Amino acid sequence: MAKSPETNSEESEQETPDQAAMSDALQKMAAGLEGDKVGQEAVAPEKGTTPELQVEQDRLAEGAKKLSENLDQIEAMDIKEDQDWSPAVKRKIEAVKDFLAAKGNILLLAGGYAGGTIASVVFEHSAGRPYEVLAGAAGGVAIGALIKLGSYLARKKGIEEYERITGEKSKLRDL
Amino acid sequence: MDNQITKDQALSLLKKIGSGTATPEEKVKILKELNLSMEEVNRLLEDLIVEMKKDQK
Repeated sequence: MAKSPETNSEESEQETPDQAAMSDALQKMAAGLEGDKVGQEAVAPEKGTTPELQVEQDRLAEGAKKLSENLDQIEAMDIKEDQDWSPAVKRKIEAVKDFLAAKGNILLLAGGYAGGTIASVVFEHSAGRPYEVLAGAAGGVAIGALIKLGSYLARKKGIEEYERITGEKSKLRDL
Repeated sequence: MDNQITKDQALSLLKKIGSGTATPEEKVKILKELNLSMEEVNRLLEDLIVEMKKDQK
């Protein structure tokens, strides 16, 4: 309800920068959540499954769980914006990038389709961080992983952005 | 590369998955590809995490 003290007296339908940023953040959250839905649909148990499909779905779930654990570990590190990584870390980051480059756009497209704009959301909020790599990885590796990433990063970052702009606690935190 | 599907094939399969019309065989095809990649990326990330933890000390 709080209005900016700098509200322009002109009757304008243009959004203020804050409104535009909030709208953008909410759209991204929605896109991320929609990506979750598509991803869940893609891996959901269903009638007509085959033993081979079951094996791959189980493998996907296991891999997604592992990826999620890896992401959790990195998230818990409290990486600074100006973190100066050692050459060893930089080499490992390059290894991930090289792998993704070797696989081409195909997996990024795959992940992007399932995950909506999750990867781009992560990119935006991760300048200078290894999330750049993780976003590419998550965008490229698995629908199942994107489910987790969508919930974990896109929603989290979207909520933070909403709260930063409005100064109010987002109801989505309780979901 | 071994058994890699093309970009067009992947897009086509993913559209089918998204629309709920993919057959189990089609899902197996794309999931196999994704699983191979995910396992490799997990391995690379685990290596990365080890080094990042060293930097954080």
